Amino acid sequence: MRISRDWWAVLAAAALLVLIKLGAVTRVPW
Amino acid sequence: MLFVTGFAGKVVEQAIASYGKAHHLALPNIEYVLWAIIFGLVIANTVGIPEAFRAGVDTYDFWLKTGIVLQGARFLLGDILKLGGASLACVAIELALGIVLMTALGRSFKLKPKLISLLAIGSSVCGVSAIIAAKGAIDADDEDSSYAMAAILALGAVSLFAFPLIGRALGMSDHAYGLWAGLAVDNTAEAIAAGALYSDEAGRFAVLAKTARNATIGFVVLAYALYWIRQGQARAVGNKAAFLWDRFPKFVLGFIGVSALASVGIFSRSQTADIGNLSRWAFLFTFAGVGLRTNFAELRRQGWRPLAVGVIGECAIAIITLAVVLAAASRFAL
Repeated sequence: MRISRDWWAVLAAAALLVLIKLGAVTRVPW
Repeated sequence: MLFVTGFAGKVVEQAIASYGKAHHLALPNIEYVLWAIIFGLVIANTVGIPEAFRAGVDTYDFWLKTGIVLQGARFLLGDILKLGGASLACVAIELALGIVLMTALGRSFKLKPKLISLLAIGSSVCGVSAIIAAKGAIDADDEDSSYAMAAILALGAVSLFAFPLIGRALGMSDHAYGLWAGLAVDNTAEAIAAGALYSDEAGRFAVLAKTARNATIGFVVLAYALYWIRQGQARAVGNKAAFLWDRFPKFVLGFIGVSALASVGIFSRSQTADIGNLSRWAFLFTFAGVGLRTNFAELRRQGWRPLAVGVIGECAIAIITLAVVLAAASRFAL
């Protein structure tokens, strides 16, 4: 099954949220 | 390439600001959004994008969608519902207006019927992705869809420069301006860029209004598919629910899901700030992509008639939605 780009975007965002929630990603610069 | 182009825009914005500060000059604050788009436009229309970078540049819509999902953390569901009434009414008006106006204009300019359908879908719902979704559903040919996409993209590029100027001239609030940009600019990337050019807050509301429009994509495309099936010029739709689900932009679900998590307080204040910054980075790549994939020579090749319909239709939609938003802003204090 091919995963659409929409779902990849959701998965990527979810992975980033998990990393932030776990404290693995902090103080993201801008 | 997206990173380099976008980051160059950010560096130039900061360099100009710090130069002005150091020399006590009141230099105009040109946002990184505009620099990233301009750098992209210059590269794409002069040296062109080297073959090796094309696949990377094509990921710009992945960054766009990831950025939108992350933006969900900055919207509490309560806010979305509160916005709901007035903003959703504006979205409904824009949808009806886009379809009726583009159809009437297309007919008077004697464009091909399926091209009219594509322009109507593109201008009412959400630009390029709606046109791509509709192309298969109504069996339109490649030429018609590239015409429609070119018209939508050319106008999107113009609106990036025109909208913030109009917003400032009218002294619009961030909320009202963001709503207008999200309603009147058709392609999602350009709509969000037009919002972000005005202010960060306006960018948030542009995301919200545009996401609401995007959510209707399946319904509008289905209605057109059913129309063309009745005319005997499109393949029959089997299961309508499956058709809707297939065309529904799934990242909208991600946006709502993240917003739900933020609403129950799962993220601390600093985590929300981090998520906001990640979404800004994702949008930075998107804005670079907006410039990099706009090719003026290609747009010129598409001919003037679809563009004329696009220009007249989009200007009318922009003016009427502006009036609707201003009326809603004064009535509901947006």
